[in-house]
Amino acid sequence: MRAVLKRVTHLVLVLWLVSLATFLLLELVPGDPATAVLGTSGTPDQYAQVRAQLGLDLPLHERYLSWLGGALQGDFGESLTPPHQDVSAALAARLPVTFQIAACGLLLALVISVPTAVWAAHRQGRIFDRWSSSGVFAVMSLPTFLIGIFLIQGFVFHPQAMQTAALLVAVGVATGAGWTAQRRAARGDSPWSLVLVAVLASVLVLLLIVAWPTFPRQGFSRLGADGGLAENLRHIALPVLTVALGELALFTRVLRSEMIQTLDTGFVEAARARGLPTHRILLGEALRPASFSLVTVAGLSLGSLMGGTLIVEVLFNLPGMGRLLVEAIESNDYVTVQAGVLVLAAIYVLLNAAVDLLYRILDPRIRHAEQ
Amino acid sequence: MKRSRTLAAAALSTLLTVAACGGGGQSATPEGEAPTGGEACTAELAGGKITMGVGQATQTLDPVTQNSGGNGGSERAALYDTLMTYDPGTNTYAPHLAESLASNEDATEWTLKLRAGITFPTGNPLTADVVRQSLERHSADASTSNIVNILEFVEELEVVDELTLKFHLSEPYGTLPFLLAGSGGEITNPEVVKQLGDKFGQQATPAMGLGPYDLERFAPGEEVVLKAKKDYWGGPVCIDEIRFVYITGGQPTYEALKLGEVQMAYLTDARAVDLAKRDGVAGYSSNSFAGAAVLMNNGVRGGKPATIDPKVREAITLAVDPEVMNKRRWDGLGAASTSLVYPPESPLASDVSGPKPDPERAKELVAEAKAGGWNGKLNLVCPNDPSNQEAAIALKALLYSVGIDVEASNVATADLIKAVIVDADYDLACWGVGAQPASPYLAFSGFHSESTSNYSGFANPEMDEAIDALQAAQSSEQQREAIGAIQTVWNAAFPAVVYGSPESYIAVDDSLRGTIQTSWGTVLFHKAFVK
Repeated sequence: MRAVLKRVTHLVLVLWLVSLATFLLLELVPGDPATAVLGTSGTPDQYAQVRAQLGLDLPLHERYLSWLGGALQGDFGESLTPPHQDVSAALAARLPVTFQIAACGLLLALVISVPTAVWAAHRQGRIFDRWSSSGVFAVMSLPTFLIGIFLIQGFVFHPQAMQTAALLVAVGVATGAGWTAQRRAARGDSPWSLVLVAVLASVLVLLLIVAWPTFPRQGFSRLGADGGLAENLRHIALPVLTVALGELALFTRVLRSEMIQTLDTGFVEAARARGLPTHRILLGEALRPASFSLVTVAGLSLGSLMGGTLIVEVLFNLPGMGRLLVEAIESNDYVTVQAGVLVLAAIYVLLNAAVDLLYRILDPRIRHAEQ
Repeated sequence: MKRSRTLAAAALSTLLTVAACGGGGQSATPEGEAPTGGEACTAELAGGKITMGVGQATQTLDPVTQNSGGNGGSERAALYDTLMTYDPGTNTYAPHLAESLASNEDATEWTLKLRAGITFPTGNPLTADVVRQSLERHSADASTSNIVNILEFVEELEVVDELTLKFHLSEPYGTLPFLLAGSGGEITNPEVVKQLGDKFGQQATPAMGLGPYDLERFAPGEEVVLKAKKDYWGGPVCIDEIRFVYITGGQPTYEALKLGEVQMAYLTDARAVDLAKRDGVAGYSSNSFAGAAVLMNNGVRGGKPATIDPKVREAITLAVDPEVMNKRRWDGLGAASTSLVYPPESPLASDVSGPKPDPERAKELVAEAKAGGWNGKLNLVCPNDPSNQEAAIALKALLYSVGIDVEASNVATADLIKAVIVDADYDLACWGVGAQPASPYLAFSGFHSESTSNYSGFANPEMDEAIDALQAAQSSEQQREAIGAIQTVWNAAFPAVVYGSPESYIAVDDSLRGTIQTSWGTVLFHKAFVK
């Protein structure tokens, strides 16, 4: 209970400091919201009048306290510049878009990077490790916008080439897995894991032939819109892949290093000596203690992605938080920027708290130490 | 700051009348024809949805705002309809919600007659008083309407009868139909205005206007969704739903059109326009006259910048080569010209062309100005978009080559507006004149000594006289003559540097038929259908 109270106090303090710093920083930014309200059609007198209407002629502390008072009651007020909309409603409309892209991107990155890293660590220095490391380094060297452009060029403008390439890979995997399974069976080893891979790859081949989707160049379809979930997934596929590719390289490197160290520890040696199968050793024994760094990095990534998917949003024309904040900064809409930064900071802090909580679940020593 | 100018133009002898078929006066001018067939919607063609890609996210759908085709113009026209329509091909107007619009001889009194029997979806009829109320919202104190300059001439809006409104003007104004073909002619429903107050145009509400569509969804920065009305006064509306989506960048917008994600794309980037034209995509083209220009501070609000010296202004003008600017800013694909009206085929292009670049003469003038005590330094403020960053670099280089040392800064648009309009703190500013073919007066009036939108402080009696003539001009010939006079003064007095007239292109997919282009690059959808 005391730890929770301490954590909440810390959170409130951080958020207050963030709100104050944001407010003061925005004061230093040149520009005037009145120019965004009146555009080029105002006279100097009208600009002064609009500044007064917006309360911009009030002292700094009065404006901050007025905004803080509203924010504490969950009322972020109205945007200063047109359209004069409720800031909370604007954030509520944009946040889910960014959250969906960030969360799905992170999930996809984890789905790809965890098995890749685990297997690369297990086969350290062998062909899979070398190839996956090369791939990871190649992706790491590419900036996000370039990944996005490559994906657009491939999936949007040359879909047949991508379909053919994907088919060739899937057929190659299915054939290779089937052939190896046969050889294993001939040696008297269990072939079932490879048979499963071959079957899954074959299903993928069929799916690629029958249901290769058309990926849109731009735009977003909300879950409540006409097309429902299918249309939503079709629209977020490439943005999510762009985010995932940007993150998975780091995740793979981090987890692989930790796994290699963990696989060298005594309790793993003991598990091997007990004759546990490889998959039990990797997933049941080594993965959990090796995933601390990954959990930390993934938690921080999700936090930074919430405010940092701007490039992806611009590239794919998505109505997310990044674009909202940049547009608000450009038009000197301080109220929207302050509220947006505060919400993102709150998410970041809460995610960090969640990561701390995960440590307790992953490592019994932390729980015991606290008890 | 009301202007008090004398009538400079000769009194016009022709009574301009634009009337609907069967109406009084001269015969009606047909509306602009769509580039993809010119067919019109009928009940059998009903159905379908389209999406239009726009380059600017409209911030409000209230006509009492900054209003142009690329910035919510087409959305608003679909919601409100317009009293008049404009045909860019012939530079003429036709009545739409109006039955006729006629002026007296000197264009100081205009009589608007409305079509009978048109009602808002809330049941209240379109009357002269409703039009008066709608127009008065534009001229209210806090209004940011871009037609305020024109409404300054309106001394009285007299409701003659239920369907007749008379405009009494303080000065002749020859292109009043322009006012009613744009935001001034978009009549708002007074009941909804009363109900929503300041929120009007900023949230999805039915029955906002008399147009063929109702507002279904307004998500600023994302999309505007319009749904067809079942009981539109002008007959069946074919396209069930129109989405306007904001796409950043010309190339992505054009790519979306090529991929079939949008059926209409508003392109302003020279490279995207060039691509669309080379691919043979049909569309509506229009040039923003003198839309690429550099404003020179002529001593606005009593300031004493170096550019107050005509020699310095001439040197700057002669140093700027439009071809160099075009290559740097638009990869040589833009419309490079120093003339106020471009292209030369425009009905408004006069015989007088703009000043020719002459770097050698510019160097001599700079040397003379420096001999008079000038230190040869100027500041330049430009917007911070990539295109204007290129423009700033090119301008700095061109001016440096004739001996002028420019300190250039690229800032947010809001900061540029502040520097030029609010603070008047600049020597040179990237600031397009941006005259519309439908009403060149609106932009060129910014160089009238008594104009409230004169942000450069330029004052020249001959220019005032030429602008007065343009104000009174009704026909293309009269406008062309007046623009010729403005160009002549321009070439002698150098109020600003013009180096291009950027083209905007509304690319239309072959499946979309029956659209109509009107003023401000706005497209009308009431006759459109999907083939």
